[in-house]
Amino acid sequence: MKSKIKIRDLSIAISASLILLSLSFYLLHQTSNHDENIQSDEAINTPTSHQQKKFSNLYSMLKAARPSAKDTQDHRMVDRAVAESTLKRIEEIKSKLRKSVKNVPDSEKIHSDGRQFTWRPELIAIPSDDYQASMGPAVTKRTTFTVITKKDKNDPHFAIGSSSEMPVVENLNNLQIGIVTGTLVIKLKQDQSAEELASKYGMELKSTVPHLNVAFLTAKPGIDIRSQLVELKKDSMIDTAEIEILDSEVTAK
Amino acid sequence: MKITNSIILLVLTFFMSSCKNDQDQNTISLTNTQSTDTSENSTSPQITPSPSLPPTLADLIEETPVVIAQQDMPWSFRPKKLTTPLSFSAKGSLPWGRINPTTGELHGIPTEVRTYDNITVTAKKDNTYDVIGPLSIQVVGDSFKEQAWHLRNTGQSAFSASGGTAGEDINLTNTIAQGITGTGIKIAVSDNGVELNHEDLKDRVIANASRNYTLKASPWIGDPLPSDLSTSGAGHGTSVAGLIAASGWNSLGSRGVAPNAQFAGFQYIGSSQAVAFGVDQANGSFDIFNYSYGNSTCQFTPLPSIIREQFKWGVRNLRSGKGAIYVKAAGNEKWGNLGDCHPFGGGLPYWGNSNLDGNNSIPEVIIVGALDAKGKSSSYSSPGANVWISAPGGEFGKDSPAMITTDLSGCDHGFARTSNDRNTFEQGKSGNTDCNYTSVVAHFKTFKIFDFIYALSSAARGVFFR
Repeated sequence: MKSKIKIRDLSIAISASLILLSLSFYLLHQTSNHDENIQSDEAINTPTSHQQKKFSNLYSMLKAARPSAKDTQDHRMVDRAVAESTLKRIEEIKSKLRKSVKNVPDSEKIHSDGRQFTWRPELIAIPSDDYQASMGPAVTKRTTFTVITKKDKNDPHFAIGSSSEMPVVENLNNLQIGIVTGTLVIKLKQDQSAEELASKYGMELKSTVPHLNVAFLTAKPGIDIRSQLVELKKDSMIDTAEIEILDSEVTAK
Repeated sequence: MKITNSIILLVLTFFMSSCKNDQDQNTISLTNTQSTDTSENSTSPQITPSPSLPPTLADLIEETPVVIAQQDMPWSFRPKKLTTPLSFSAKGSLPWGRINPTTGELHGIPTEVRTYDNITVTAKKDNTYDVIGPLSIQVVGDSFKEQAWHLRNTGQSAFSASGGTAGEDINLTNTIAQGITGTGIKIAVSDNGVELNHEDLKDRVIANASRNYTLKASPWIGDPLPSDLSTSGAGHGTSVAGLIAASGWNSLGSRGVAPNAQFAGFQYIGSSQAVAFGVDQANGSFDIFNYSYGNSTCQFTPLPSIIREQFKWGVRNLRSGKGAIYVKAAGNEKWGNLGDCHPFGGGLPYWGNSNLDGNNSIPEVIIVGALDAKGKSSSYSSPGANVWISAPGGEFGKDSPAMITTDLSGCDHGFARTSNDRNTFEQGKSGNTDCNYTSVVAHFKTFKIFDFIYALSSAARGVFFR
């Protein structure tokens, strides 16, 4: 009997210990995951110097190792380590982007040619030729456009205000800045006249591509380009109409 | 694979035709060698016609004491008034030459830039022998062509610290030897602009066909000279144009892949790159459109649908219905910094993929990778399943060969402005005193864009579709 109790007590004790141990592991794991999440979010925005150094070293190692190609084993290790780090970061970025896209209300989204954007009303694009340092720091600078904050210009614009100031949007797929040039890319139905269309809406006909039935038109200053687009899309002369958004720039290769 | 089936076919065709010619004609028996060097000061030989020669022959020889031949190109020379029945033989140092014994025509393909003096032709009529000559045959070429490893790789260094591997080139020799040089081919070089008045390009420019998309209104016809010449990268389009169609046999610079083709330069990269420009730069009376540009992206960037539509239309309708040929660089992102293409990328490397650039994602455009002078993938060339072909692109010119080509004229412009990683050629030595030519691309390191040019393949294709 005594031995039976002892065995039972021992079993209970072992079971309790196992449960406690499991619980401890679980809690520890949860805490660890939480820490990792926080660390990941921080890393997305501002990589720590430790990470910078780590990846910089890997980068240098890879760069230095490649030309000689003497030690294949080292190459593979470096390649793999760098690849894993990069993939992890890309996953983090994707996660961040998904959140970003999800959080934008539909009313603030703008679609153009299969791409999805959101307005950035606090920003404005001006021709780079007009950009002066006194306007404030450029958010981004391209060959022909410079994006600055609207408060630097102290002149709120949402519609196309003038030919030299353009609204700015953000590509929800890659968070690249896009410039709304004020041009509408119109594909006309067969035998429809671009000139007639421009005249009908008081728009400026910039150029045409006759063999594609395509016309590029600009709205009058002060006209909200979104309203103009809605109006045009109802017209029976038109096959498709898109707002021109320049969100990528090619460079010499 | 840098040798296309077309090249192989051409080589075979030429090989067969060469064999046939050999059977029909005799090689010049070359004795009595007394040649001079290629010095420009070498004097023309004094022509003393033999009094026993038929008057027609004597007149003709007096008119043409010096005969010009072009390096690598088929050459022939025959006194116009020769009549049969005469039989001919020739003497002198002309290793590449042959003579047709029944017509007296001298012919061959000169390989070396130099002057061959004291070439004589013996004409036999009945039992009478007359000697025609001496003739001087002056072979003209291009100053830096021998360093152009992409045209003919002999392992030369192209002014860098190391050489390439002999034979790793575009196998152009036999194509040129057939006289196929791009005559009649029109090429659009859409880039950051071109210096149309460059000494080695001006004769190849199609008048009033170049475009500048920084001009206000369509059709944007105008001088495509880059508006900002203050950066060394401003010479990019000029260098691309030179690789494609720099004039040949003018004793200047190197030689284009298609030296008799014509081109127009478009300044597109420096413009806003509006959709209208993207469509327009894929349209026009051209056989080939060359795009040595691209996005630096690590996520897919789709091409605007109207531009895609233009490419579709172009391959079905341009070039008199045969379809235009669109050629584009795969990219310079073999691997790079994630931060260059993404706001969150900070400091991480990424492996490039040429499929990510929407310009590269359509089947109407031939995507081209780059090879170094050893025939290996260049250190910067983007990989991808969409790469159709690879062609010489070279490296950076200091340690390993870049490609010799035109640069913006003068030592104050173009790649000559590069302060680092210069080789002797860039320093105005080795015959490049005016800095009108380049052999480095170090400029691009400044912008973290590992870059050079894939235009070769486009022009090479040009000669096949003449």
